[in-house]
Amino acid sequence: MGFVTYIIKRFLLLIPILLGVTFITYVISRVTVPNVARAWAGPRAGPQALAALSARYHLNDPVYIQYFYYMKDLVTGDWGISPTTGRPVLYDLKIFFPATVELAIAAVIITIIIGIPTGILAAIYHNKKIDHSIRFLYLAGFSSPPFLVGLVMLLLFAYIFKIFPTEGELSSSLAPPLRITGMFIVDSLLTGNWVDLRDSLWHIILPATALALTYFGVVTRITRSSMLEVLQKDFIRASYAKGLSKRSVIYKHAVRNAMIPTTTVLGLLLGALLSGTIVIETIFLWPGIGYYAVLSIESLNFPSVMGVTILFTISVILANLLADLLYAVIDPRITV
Amino acid sequence: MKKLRTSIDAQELAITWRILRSSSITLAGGAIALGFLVIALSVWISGNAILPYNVYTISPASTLQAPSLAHLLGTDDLGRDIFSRILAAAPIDAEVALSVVGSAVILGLILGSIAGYVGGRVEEIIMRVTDVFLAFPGLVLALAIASSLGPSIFHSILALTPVWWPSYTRLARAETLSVKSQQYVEASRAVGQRVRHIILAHIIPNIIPDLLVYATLDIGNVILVFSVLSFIGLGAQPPTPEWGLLTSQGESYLVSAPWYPIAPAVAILIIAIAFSLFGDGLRDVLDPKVRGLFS
Amino acid sequence: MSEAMSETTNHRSVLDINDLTVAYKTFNRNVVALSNVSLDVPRATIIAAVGESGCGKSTLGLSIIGLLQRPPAMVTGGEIVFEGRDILKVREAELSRLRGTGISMIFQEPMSSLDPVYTVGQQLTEAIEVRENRKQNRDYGPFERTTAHHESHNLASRLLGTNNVRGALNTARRHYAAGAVEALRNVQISDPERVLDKYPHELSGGMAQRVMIAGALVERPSFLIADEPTSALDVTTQAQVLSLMRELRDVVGTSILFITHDLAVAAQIADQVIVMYAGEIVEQSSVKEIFQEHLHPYTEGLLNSFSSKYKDEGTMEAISGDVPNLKNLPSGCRFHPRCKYAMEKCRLEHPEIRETHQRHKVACHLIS
Repeated sequence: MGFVTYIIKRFLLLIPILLGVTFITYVISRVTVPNVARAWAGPRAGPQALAALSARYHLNDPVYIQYFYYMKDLVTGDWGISPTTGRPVLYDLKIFFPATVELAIAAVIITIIIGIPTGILAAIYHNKKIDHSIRFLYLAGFSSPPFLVGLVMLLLFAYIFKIFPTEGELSSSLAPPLRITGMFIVDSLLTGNWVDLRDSLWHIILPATALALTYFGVVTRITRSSMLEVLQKDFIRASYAKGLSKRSVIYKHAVRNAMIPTTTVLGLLLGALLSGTIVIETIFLWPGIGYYAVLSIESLNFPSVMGVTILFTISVILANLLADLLYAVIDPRITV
Repeated sequence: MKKLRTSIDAQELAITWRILRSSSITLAGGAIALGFLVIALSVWISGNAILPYNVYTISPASTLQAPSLAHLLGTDDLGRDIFSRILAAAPIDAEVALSVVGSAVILGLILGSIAGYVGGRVEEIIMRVTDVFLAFPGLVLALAIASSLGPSIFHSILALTPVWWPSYTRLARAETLSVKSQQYVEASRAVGQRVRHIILAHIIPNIIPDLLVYATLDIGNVILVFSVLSFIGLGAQPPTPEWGLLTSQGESYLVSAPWYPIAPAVAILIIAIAFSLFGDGLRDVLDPKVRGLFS
Repeated sequence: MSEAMSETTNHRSVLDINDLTVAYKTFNRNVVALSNVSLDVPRATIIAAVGESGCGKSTLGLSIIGLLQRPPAMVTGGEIVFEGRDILKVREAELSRLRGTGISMIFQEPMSSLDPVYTVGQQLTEAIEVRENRKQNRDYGPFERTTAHHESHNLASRLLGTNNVRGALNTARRHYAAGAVEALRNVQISDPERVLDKYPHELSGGMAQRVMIAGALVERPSFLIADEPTSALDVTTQAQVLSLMRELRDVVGTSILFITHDLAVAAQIADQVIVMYAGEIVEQSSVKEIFQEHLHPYTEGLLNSFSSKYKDEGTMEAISGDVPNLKNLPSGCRFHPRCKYAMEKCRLEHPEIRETHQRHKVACHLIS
């Protein structure tokens, strides 16, 4: 089919989903919410402000006109004004988003480091004690509310053992690095700011690990089951028949094939991780959009909450797309 | 090919029981899950009367006490017994979980069986809508709806149901497709039975058991998400006890009174694991290979 | 003097199976898949193992190369002597060193025998590496490492001109590309350079099977087990594969255990034939004798049901009854319920395999 055609096809499939998603957010934002104007203007807005807002968002017009303007605003970047800060929501999001991206990437890395080897081990020692212990561990992680692991780690490693800092992205005594991407670790690296680099790395470990420990089961489970499946295949037997060593067969052939279905789970993983960041950022005072969302909820800042919703959802959809593309790169059967 | 269930079969039940009994893990999970429901029910029926301490009374003299024989899990910042509050939260979490899962199953059953049986345009539309809902991360969708409606337990139920019904719709549709092709159904169609009758009498009874198994697994998951909603302020409101809410109330005392936030969080962990393990065992009950082994 | 010497070398077996018994563990009891199977495999000989499905032919093959799933399978008795050792008692690490270059195996579905995420070139290169890593007293022929280096660089630059960039880059990196090309040429694949960077799913069944044989040729095993290698192929490709097998026997001196349910194929390729039923060898002889002077009633039945297919005359004669359930074997001779000539003795006493005249063995009470 060709790689490029595949990419284009996948992109095109995105469009109806995006349309559907934005329609639902429209319904939530403007239709089902009681007292739309109040919700969007904030609790302190006066009658004049309310009227102005109603006019601006065409709140009194019929549904289809309203929807048209909603979509237009969405696409042009007008996601509403935050009543608490007075700034456009998108502007606020741009400030907070990089920190979440950084946290999510760190969490994904740690999750993969924990998840894949445990999945492979569990498959190789199928049904033995190792397998059962690993499965119980990730089940426990999965069944934990995201705040449990976070709180326990915070208590143990930050307060009791005092190894890691208790909150934030950077020690308050340090100045943040020059803002290029907004991600402190990346920016420190790019500007050669080693002090900030070490400090921000130290800050990210605890929250990222808390996330990883909660959700690594997603990766372990699929790695294990796809390893088990692959180990049954004919070409594994044929590889042994060729005289390849057990190590070669497992790590060169079995693992490589087993990794293919694992990429499909990346989208799911990111969705879970992003949901988890809402809680983790609150516990660790990590200034990302999860933290921003919770602050907005507390201050009845509805436009911001909807902004975060849209941003989160688009991120997960794109992550799924990325996972599909990665799958196509790894598995030659799809595009060659 | 799935065996068509036309009536409740005593022998099938015996096999089911044997399978469940065979794994001590499943039994343990089931026991805890059942215990949770029993506690929830008793607390609810008795109107909190059976709890060791009153859940709402504030006693400034005994705030933040460590766990002791008198207070098994200590007291909170308003002097309330934490153990009682944790138990009192059981009916609330149970109510939310059962309502959400119940509505999701019913909605999914109806929409999924129609989609699977009728097919064509109707199926397309239903499944596209399902896909769109599934594109949202669950917590995020619930968060958006709950914040738009306002924080309350009832609104949480309304917010959580749209997160769960799509998966049940998908499941019901898949099951319907596999039942649809069986001879019993073909025969009914040939005789000229009405679509509604076929769906109600033949399709639905055969797909309900599978859906219920997944529903059982999901009870724990709903409690997990609902507790997060309450943690961030959108679910249960103070002074109502709810595990996620209790944890967030105790967060500030993490260092001085760690039992305060951690105990309710552990309660969630235990219940969620229990339902998960039990659900896994239930899944074996559905697996025809496993059934063959035990017959 | 030299004639006598060559006589003895010719009579020395490559593989010596004595009283092999293999069972599978199931829930309530053990099912015996192979009972007291004995077989001497001489050098450069193709032995066809024929029989209906479930008779144990595949189990025999897998037991020899040590790739049975253990559990549930287990070897409960007997020995398999290869290169002077009983390989049933040898440790896995040692056994692994015997595979590929000593004993090899190719399977029925060639497409699924190849790893889908590596190119043909990469997988052939693996085979070459296995051989290179096992420097033993074997004749490698004209293959020289230094010239291969040179050739592979030229090859690499040519390959990069292809459309399959990813495949080309993958294969070009390996130094043994030239050896792989030669291996493909040896199995009559035209345009081997292009095939090198193809992925398995891009090949036809026949091409894939030839790639498998190319791998076997590269490693030059003393003994090759071919489990239904032509069953998934069309007649023309089948003929090509069979001729390659003959070449393996004649040029390299490999002995082949050719497992098949198709007697016609056996007739074309085999030097000797063993007929298996319910886990036992019931008849064994040269291919000519099996077809023209067969002794066992089961062999007769097999030949009847096949020959009518090819002769276009007479009715299709199937052997009445079904293959016995290994959990519940008949008493005495396992074939007696389906046998036209069954006597009372057949029900009571199990016939042991006996050698009648030169090299013809049979297990039947009719022949004593």
